[in-house]
Amino acid sequence: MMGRLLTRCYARLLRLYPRTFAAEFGEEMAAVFSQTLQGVEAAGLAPAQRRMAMARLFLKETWDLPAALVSARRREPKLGSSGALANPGGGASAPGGWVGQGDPWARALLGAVPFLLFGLAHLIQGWVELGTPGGEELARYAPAAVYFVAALGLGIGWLRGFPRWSIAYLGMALYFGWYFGNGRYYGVVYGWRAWIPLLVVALAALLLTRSLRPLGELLRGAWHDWTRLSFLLYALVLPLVTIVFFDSDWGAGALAGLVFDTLLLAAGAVVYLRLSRALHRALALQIPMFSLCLRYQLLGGWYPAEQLAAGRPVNLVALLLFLLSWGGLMFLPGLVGLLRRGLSSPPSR
Amino acid sequence: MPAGKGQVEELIPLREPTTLILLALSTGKKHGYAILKDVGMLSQGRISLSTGTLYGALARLLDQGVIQKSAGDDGQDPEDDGAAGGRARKYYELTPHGRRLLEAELGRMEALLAAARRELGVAGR
Repeated sequence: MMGRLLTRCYARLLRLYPRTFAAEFGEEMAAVFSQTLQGVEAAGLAPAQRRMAMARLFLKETWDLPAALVSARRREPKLGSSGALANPGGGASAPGGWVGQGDPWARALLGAVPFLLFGLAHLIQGWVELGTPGGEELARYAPAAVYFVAALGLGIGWLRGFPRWSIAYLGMALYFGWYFGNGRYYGVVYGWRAWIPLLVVALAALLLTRSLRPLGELLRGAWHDWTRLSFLLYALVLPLVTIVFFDSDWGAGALAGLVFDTLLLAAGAVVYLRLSRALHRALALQIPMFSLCLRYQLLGGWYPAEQLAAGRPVNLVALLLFLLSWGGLMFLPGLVGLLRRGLSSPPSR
Repeated sequence: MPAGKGQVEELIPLREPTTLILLALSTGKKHGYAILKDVGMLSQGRISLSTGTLYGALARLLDQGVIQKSAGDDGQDPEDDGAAGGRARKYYELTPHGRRLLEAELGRMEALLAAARRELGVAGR
């Protein structure tokens, strides 16, 4: 059973290799790894020793993985032929395959993970704030764990040329960089040090790829599919909005609201990644945005909710303008799409 | 692009895992698992390659024209315990250039060993 589990995990690791390398050697590598595990199983060791030996084999594979990836990428053909960066976002109906096709369910759910973990981390903190015994250490380190996961996801996305799902990890990593670097966190002022995990990921990705092409892919992806910028804002700004709203008061109702907001953000991410048309994608991000802002306006301590509390009537125009300004944020990157369309349209005669 | 005759000198000295891989292939074509086992045996357990390292090296050696893919044998490999389940194995073998490279590397090591013995012999007097 452990052998089958490790073989499946190893198959996941093989996905990190460049596509041409994986296509040429992936099946063999998986078969050899499986045979090696079976050799351990057949060695007649005691169960505990057998498990340890199998685990050591898998750890050796992961330990050697960075160097193996560097070696594999060195022999990759240039971008645009058959390398791992040739199809960063899925879909093939447009140059580079950035638009025209939604992501499969697995990638869509992968893109929702940062939002779910974000909610879970702050939910834990909220439970501790409410006086739930135990869990103080968990509350302190939960956001750091999410930061780690976001940075790791960013690194994997970087190696694969920034597919759309990885934009969520980029946004969330940037959010947590700000989160830890801004002010005190449990009495510690991290300042610029809060950005070290991102710097480490960037350095590791640059060393592994030995190329700036993934960053070029990130920019090209945004140029050909402006909703990627919207998604980046979604992953960076909305968690920030959520936390600013809940920063002042941790009540039981606020925790329920956090659960709702987390699920809403995650669902928005899944829908965004599953859709194929740019306008539909942008709208998928707008719905959670509007919903959150509307709820915070009516229930939270922001203007014009402050007016409600003060007994003054709500200025609907101000409310509408507020919602439109926040909603417009998601559509702002559409200017990139308009610019690209303007530059690519033939001159009129 | 396969390496030419004059590029043997450019490729040496080889790293120890690469030398062991070529040594494993010197006795005949082998598939990946057999190469892995042979490297462990030739190094007396000192070197244990991961599949990632092995296939990175095989890919590089293929590109350099040192080894080539070969048709597999019919029937099951004696070392095979049935793990392949009947799937077609991929075999690798040394090219003539690869054999020259291995001989050059072994010659270099022998020359180094001889020089070391001379020096140690002189120092021991």
